[in-house]
Amino acid sequence: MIQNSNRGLSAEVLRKFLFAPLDPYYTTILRVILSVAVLVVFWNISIPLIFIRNSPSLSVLYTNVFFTLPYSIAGVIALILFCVGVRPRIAGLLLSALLLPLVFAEGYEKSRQVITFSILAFSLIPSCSQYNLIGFKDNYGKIPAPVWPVRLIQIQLSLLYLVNAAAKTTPGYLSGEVLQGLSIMMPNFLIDMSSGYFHLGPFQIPAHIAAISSVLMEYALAVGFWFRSTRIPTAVLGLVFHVSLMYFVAIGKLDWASLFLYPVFLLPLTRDH
Amino acid sequence: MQAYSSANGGESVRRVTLTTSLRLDVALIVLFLIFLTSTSYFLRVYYRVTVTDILIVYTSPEGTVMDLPTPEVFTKNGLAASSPAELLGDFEGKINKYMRSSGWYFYFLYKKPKARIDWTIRYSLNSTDFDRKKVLSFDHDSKF
Repeated sequence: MIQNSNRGLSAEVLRKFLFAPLDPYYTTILRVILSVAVLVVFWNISIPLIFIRNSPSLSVLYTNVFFTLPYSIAGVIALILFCVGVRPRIAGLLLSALLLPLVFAEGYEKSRQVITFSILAFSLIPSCSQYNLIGFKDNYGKIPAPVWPVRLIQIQLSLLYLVNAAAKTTPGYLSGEVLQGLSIMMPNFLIDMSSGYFHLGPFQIPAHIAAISSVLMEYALAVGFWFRSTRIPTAVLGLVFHVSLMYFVAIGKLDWASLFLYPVFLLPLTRDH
Repeated sequence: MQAYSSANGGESVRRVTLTTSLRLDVALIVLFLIFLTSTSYFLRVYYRVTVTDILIVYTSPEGTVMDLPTPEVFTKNGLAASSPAELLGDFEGKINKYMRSSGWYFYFLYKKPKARIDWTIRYSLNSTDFDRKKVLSFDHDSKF
């Protein structure tokens, strides 16, 4: 009896977690944030990845279609329509289709993967937003959308941190040797840890301490957003983590892509937020 | 899209679905989760490193041995965060190109049958032990 009641309760919690109605106002804000993220992450790309460059037919396709002005204009139009909320579902699906080939451009492809999936997930939300930026109200405005497409974006952000933390949970990384090697070999590492120490102002932090701290932070960022009480501290930790990373490593746009997704946890997108 | 309500401890909770049924929505969620999980593998950054050290030795036709300076292009490499095979593949291409474009081939090897340039790449994965080695040798017969 109690078991049945518990099962019923957890099913209800899961249903609420996935199918609670979205707040249209904050959904609109999130849509605008995602649009800005597209602009930042997809800005200035012109060379496809090496596997495309090695394939003559794909290479021709990229040169003659995806990296052309008309293609860019089509993308910008879809982005504007998505951002202002004119048929955001169709515009979002079109935008994610247009962005997909551009994910495979050289440099920062991980950040583009993250943002393209976010746009795709977001565009599943029906064109029922009660708000848009040009006062357009459609016929479905009274029925809100379920929250689960946004949950997918939240899960993606957590996975981003989790896979990175898990990949770094190795003896080589935790001993600090990988960080040392990266600082020696990578042109975008702005620090030199060849001495085995990370120099932070007057402090000398051993490489293994720096490595363990960064992995622990990534685990904390993967988990912390899911609890109401730790959400804000996690966001602050993430902000400090990414901003400080920008001083030590020019990771590029993955920092920005991650930060752009923080509002999916911070905005009160459902009533039970 | 459908909306419905259910009682939850006296409070009415409103839920909505994206498709016409809850099951279809759940199937879509599962599909997306599978896609997300399988592609998250590609989101890993800076979790490994291939550290390299390159020595270049010139042996003259008379047998005299001389170290040549390692060109700057080989000291830092954006592919160092990849596997040794990927990095060495990139190095091979760059070394061939360097031999051709720098003039080393014409200055040191052209029409000098016994002369040789050996590029010794010492490397290691996730450590600075340099426990592995690859040697690329060039002589007057080398094809680039």
